[in-house]
Amino acid sequence: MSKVVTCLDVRRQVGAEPRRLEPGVVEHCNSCASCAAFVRELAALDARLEQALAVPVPEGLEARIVLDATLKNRPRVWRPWLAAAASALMVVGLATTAWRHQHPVGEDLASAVVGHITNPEEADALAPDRALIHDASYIEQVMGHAGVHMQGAMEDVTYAHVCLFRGQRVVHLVVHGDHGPVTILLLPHIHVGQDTPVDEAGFHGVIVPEGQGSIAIVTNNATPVEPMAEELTAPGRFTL
Amino acid sequence: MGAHQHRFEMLARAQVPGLYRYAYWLCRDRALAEDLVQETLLRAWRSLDSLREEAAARRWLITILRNEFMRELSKRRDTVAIDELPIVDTRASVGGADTDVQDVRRAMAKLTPEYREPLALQVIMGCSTQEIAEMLELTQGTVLTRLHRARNQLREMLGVGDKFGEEIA
Repeated sequence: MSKVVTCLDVRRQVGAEPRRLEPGVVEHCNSCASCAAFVRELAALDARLEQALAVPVPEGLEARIVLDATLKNRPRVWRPWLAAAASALMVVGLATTAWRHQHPVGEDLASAVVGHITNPEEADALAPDRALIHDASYIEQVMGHAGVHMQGAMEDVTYAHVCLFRGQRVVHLVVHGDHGPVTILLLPHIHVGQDTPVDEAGFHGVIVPEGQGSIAIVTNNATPVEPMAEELTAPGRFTL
Repeated sequence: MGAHQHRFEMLARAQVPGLYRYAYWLCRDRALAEDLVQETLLRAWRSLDSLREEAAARRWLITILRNEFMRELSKRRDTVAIDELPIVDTRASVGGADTDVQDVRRAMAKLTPEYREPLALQVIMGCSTQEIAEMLELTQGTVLTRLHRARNQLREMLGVGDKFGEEIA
């Protein structure tokens, strides 16, 4: 038996997606003048919106971008290790994406953490040739933008950025570990009740509770993460 | 022309206008929007080989652009929140446009970022609510609610129709 579409259903669906009218909505509007008028009104509003949001694009922007990218990236040096690393990350990313497809977002924090790390756009963070960040004030500044406070210095950091994770600002760090890069995500808005292991798509680590939030320490090499977790959760080290 | 450059040019031609408009409504600053798009495409050039399907290009570029925007925020020492970004176009009066277009742009500029961004992704980039949910790392229900409320607020600001449905989202 098909679900009866009410006026409330129509307002809710059309208010969010005026261009996608479900058959039930169309059927309802055939016998409800008020909802039919609402649908027409929203369609008209969206037409105005579409026109208004199409702000003028600077003349020649595409050509400038193509030229700029061409000049800045010439000559293109082929680096076999980089190609191999990119391929490996792509495989990891695809495997993770496939896995996440079967496990809805929000269900598994560990999966979401690995998904963020293996996002192709974040692949650069794990590049082995990244230089150390010596400017401690920059790292403090990044943390400040995510509402994180740290006591003492953080050493061996090669990457420090504010990222969006589940709609919230988090701090994404990469540090030199004993056997390669280790990712640390400071998650001020996500609390875990106890240590949560991470083990998927070639990555392993742990998400530990800290204050109101949590800290994920994850790597895909042999660097042991437990000592780092202990150090990061020392009393007063971080305020999340 | 190499295959890499040809592919990049095709990508830029297809995606730059939409990306620029999305970037503008993200930051409401024409110069910053242009910089964001430029940096996004530069990064895209460098990792173009990792993009296996052209159909995924739009979403891939949007993700890069959003991250660039966040990086830009993190660089600004005095910036404390997305909705307090420097606003060059306080009246949203970009380009020459008629009164109605300017009214809608002003109303759009008044929406908070949490409502403005999903609406821009839907209207400018043609993203589905599922895609928006995945990109913003929200549930689809939250996206539907925000889109509904965004339109309700626009209707109210523009004096369109009644307020039916304000309480349902």
